Amino acid sequence: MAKRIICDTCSAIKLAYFGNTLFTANTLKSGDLILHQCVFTEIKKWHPTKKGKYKKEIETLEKIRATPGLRVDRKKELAQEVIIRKTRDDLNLSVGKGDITQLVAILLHDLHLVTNDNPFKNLAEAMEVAVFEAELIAFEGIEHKVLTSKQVQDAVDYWEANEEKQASKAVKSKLAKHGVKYK
Amino acid sequence: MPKQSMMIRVNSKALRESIIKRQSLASLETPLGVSRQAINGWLSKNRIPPRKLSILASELDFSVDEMEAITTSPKDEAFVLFRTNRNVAVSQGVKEDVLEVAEDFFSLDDLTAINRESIDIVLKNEDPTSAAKSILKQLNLSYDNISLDKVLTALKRYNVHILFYNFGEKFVDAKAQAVCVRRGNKRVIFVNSYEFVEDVLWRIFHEVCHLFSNHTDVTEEDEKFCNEVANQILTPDAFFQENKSILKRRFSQGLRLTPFLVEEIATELSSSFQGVVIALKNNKIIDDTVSRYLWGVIRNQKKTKKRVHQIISPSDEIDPKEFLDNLLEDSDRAKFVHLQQSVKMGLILDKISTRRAAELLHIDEMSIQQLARRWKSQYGKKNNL
Repeated sequence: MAKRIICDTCSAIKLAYFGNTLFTANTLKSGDLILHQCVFTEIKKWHPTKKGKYKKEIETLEKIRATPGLRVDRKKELAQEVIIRKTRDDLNLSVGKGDITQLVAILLHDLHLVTNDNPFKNLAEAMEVAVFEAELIAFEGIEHKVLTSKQVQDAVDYWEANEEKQASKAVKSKLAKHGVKYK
Repeated sequence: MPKQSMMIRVNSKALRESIIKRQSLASLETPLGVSRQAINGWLSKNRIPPRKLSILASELDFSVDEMEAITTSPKDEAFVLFRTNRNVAVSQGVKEDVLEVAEDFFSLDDLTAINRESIDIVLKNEDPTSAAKSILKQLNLSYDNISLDKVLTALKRYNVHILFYNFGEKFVDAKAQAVCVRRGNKRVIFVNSYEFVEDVLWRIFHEVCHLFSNHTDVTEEDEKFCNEVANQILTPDAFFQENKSILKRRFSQGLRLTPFLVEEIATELSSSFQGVVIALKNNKIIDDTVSRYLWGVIRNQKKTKKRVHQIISPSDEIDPKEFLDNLLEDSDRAKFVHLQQSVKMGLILDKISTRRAAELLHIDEMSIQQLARRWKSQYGKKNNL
């Protein structure tokens, strides 16, 4: 099963709410979760107040660390970037250099993607990459009995209180089957 | 998994050549997971799923040049013209950054685009004074009613947008003051947000002159011409000649009073202090002594004069998320945040990735996601969604 890479801080912080449970190898049947280095680079830029607010989650992520060996041959990377940029322009999406570089790594290493960012998700899907929302992973956690509905409900309440991006309607309705509700 | 396989347009001839150079079409059936007929079908329709092209590029080791040739479709060429301090050369990397932000803006601006007129004025062999008159006439402005708001509104009608943007150190290193980008009938003028607020109109008119002159590459002559046109719009010789005797009398009343007089004229003409001093000297209203004194005043003013970034960028003490949210609600500062407004709309309509938005708005991605959620809910309530 292909590994699923987290490239944005929002998804990483959300899933780190549960400690390293979801990041432990062979826990999730749809593929292990791994972290891209960019998550840590982005967190470094945060305001100290925010770092304090998410201290627990950041500590969890630091223990898990970024997955090494995601670098790709520069010539191949540049050629792939041309295709992705062309696809992005055809879809009329504004997706930046950082996302494009990560998408190249995803394509060349045959990975799946975890993101809640719709334009990036649309671009990745156009490139036939499987995309998962962070909340969908939490849903899998309940299904595989590594998380309880109560834990996920607490997490959803916490994410909502922090004004974090919400899950899509489809994922919300999946979670509702386990009694997890949004306000 | 994808709902349907999207296709991108390709140059089949270039793609076929790149494949045949290395392998037969039949040998690609396995890596692509399709039949030779399907591959031929893509080639005959000039369209291919991007993932399949990605596999081909990886399997056959296509070079970047080959990929550019394969994916290039006829598109208007984009022109990037820089105005830099002392004509410092601008690196290709900086130009590419500028073009990328402009392309983002063009795609986001399409979201709210209305039918706009195209520029039907081309300045040819005109002297700067009559060129200045032509520009003002076309924009329906006159010397005595110029303001930043009016200029921005007038230019928008012609698909010319003014964006205030901090391109970071690379842009500052290049001493770039303003840049204009043109692709097809879309035009953007970026003003470096490190510029002084009072210099903004001059920078804009200089770039407008390039656009109205259809410059695709600028020579030193073109630069001088556009400088003079901007001067004649904001500090017209006609004004100084008409009022020469009064001004001469007032400027002879004592050196210490002269800065106040210059300020007064600058406010009346919507010009900068420096622009007025240059015009006064050129029109022989002040002599060398007064001019030297006023240049001293200009040097001192530089420490205290307001720069655009002080209006649109948060200081270290303020939460950048709250600053940005308030900024976009502030009608007084709306003229400086057109790009930011477009990014906000792009986030509401899911047209821009949060990472790209974070890059463009110079704040962290998580804050952008929180703002996007807030904006989406406000937009939904306003539009009863």
